[in-house]
Amino acid sequence: MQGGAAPPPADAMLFPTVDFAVFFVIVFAIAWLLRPWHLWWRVFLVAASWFFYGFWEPKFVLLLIGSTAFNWAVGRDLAAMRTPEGLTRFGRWFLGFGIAANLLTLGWFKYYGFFVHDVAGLIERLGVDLPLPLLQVTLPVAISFFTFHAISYLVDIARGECEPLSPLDFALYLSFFPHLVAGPIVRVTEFAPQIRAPLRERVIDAAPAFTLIVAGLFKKVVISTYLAGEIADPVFASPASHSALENLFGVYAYAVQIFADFSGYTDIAIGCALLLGIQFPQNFDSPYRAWSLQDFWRRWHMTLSRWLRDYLYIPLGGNRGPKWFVYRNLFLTMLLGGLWHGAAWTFVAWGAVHGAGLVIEREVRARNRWLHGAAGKAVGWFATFHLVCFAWIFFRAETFGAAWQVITRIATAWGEPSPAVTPLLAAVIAGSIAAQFLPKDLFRRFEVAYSELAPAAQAAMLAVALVLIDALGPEGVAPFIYFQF
Amino acid sequence: MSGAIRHGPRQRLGARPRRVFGVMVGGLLLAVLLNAPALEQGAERMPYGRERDFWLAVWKPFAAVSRTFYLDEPRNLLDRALGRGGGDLFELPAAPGGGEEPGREPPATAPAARTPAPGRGTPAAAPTPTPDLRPRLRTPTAADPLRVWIGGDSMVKVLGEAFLRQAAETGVIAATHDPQLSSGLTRPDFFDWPGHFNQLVRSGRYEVFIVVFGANDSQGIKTPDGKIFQPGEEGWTAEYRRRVAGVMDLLGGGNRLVLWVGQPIMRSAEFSERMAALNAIYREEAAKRPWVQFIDLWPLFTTPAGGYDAYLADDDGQVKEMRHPDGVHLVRAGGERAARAIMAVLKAEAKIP
Repeated sequence: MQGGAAPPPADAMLFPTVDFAVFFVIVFAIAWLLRPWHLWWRVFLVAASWFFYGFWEPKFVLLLIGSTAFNWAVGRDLAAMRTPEGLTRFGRWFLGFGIAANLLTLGWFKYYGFFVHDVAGLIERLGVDLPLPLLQVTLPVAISFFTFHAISYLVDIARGECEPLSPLDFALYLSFFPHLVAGPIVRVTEFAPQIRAPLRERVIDAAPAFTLIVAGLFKKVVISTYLAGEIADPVFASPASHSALENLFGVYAYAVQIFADFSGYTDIAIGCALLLGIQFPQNFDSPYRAWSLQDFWRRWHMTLSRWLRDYLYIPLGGNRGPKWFVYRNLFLTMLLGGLWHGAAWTFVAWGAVHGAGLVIEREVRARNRWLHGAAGKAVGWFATFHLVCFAWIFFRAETFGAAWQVITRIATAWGEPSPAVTPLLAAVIAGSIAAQFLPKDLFRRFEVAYSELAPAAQAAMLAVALVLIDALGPEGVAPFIYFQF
Repeated sequence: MSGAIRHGPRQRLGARPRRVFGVMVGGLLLAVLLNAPALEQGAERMPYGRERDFWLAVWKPFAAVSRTFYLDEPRNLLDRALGRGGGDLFELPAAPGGGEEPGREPPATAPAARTPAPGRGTPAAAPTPTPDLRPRLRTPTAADPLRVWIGGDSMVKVLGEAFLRQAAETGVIAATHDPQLSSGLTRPDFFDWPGHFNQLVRSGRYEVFIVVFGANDSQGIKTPDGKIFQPGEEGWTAEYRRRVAGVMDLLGGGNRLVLWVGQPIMRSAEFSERMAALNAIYREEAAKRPWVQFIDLWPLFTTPAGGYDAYLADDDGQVKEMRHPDGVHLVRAGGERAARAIMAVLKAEAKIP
């Protein structure tokens, strides 16, 4: 967007831009030069991460610094309240206070509008007047992700699973720029050992890193943008103007678009971190090859699934207790996971579909052993993919009315012309899904072959890939979908 | 829900940082050389100012080297294959006339003559309004719906989506939504609107054009003689007026109706003032052309005191969020309100109940 009409967060330092490339090359060079000086290396990475964040909106760096200072202090005090039997009674209150403060901050920025528009309206209908001002609160980029990191840090300290970090290490953990904006959600036990350990060898996993970055750029810049512009955006903007086939392909396209967008982002994030010598956990593992919903959640946004399991599902009771209690925990976890994605009832519905789906799936699988065989898995794949697509309708639609319109058009508007469904579009959707069934060994063999090339050949391949992506992509790059969460 | 998370590579494919730095910088430099003309064009498309000058200074030497050694040819070939590229001058094509499909009625009137490029500060010449030039829309049916195009810059994204929903409800309007984000009338090098409009008109597919421009246009503009003017300067207004008039003329004729949608009030007082100035140009040029109607959104998005507020009372009396937090764009309720205003005019013109 040129001129004065730029909706946030378009001004953020997006990965697929020249700005970020220049920033990263400089950070890479200085970080590896400083690597032998452990303290300065960490100081530099924190400063670079704050600069990266401030590039979008400098004033929100203060929010990040404030969150860092607050959570570090709470973490330090929590550690002092641990006993061999666990946290003291006051410690448990103190942990609750720390978590509540994080959630209230997140709530203010993310859910105030939702509360005023939707929840307060419901309360007022019951006769209780809530004179809340109508405010447009700007959602700081990354707040959901650094809040999740902070909460996991506090809980892990309270559980005795980790020791408090130094202020510098904690600042780096919370704000390390590759994961800052949209994950993956890294546990402190995974991150801290990597930044604490003195440098043993100056070696970088370069081939996987470059492969991830190029693949991520391709997914984001070419696939995601193409599918959004060709059919997903137009269909969800006006389902009634499109045929059943177009609505159906709009939903399929959105399923591929959100995967390409989000997994593309995390591929780039993981690749950049790897180049800086830090390993992140995997965040996607071919989710559209899942043959059950449970399998899907082991493959989709894996670090969020793990977070929800460890900090929500298990505290709710997890698998302990009677069946209905376990199912309640499962459903509630998915419902809250949905609300985390966005302040709207449609996101809650998305979570409810997944929650209900997981409960029903457990029942069905327990009663039908044949579903575990080859034929059952094929049926399971088809059903899982379509249930996931069905849930995406609520995730993408702005209102329930719009979601319902997509569903009814798919059910009724057959026989109408479908000019938006082209062979190229169908091929891109089918190819993107089919690619998830490729053997992982194929990528590994490519990485090995790439790593054995001469540096000049590696640079040439990188250059050709970047030019191809730029040529096939659109003019300008849209922000990543997950920036808004 | 459960499942261990596997970490990245199983076996390290290690390389020394110095070597990785060489590959990264070498790859990026080679990519820049292969892509330099495209990067240079990208910088040229930025708003005129210091940042644009900086990036142009950076990319120009690379582009020169790239052209000298024909390194830009692969990218040029790709661009040609993909139909990309455009000039930075706002060149209005010759009058396409009716551009009718076979079987359709011939145009009732010819469009007005193209407005000539003005000299500095010269107002655009306007056609003489005559009653004959006013389009007479037929009454559409479900079998033969009214073919409407709605497009422009990012302001038409949400507005157009709302219009499509309302059009679908009538059952007799077939609308095509064509938002081109970041585009406008000031920067044809970013998106070639004259060329695009020419194609649309020549296709003969549309009976009504609903056009939304302005929010992105408050930036430097280049005249046909290569001079650059900034908003507020006399030369800027003259050139922008020439473009608006040219687009109105290009879209007219063939009994086509043009609805030119003005900009609403903006949160920033300065930006609002600039939009009001653009609205004045649209209004004045529309008044000279019977086939163009100006739709004023300004009063729909002001408070009773005439100011800006993101939250306004909707037609049902409920206070709703109408504007995006950026203080510029519309959100769903705002889009619906603007679309209703457009639809009211369209229904009256086409006698749709």
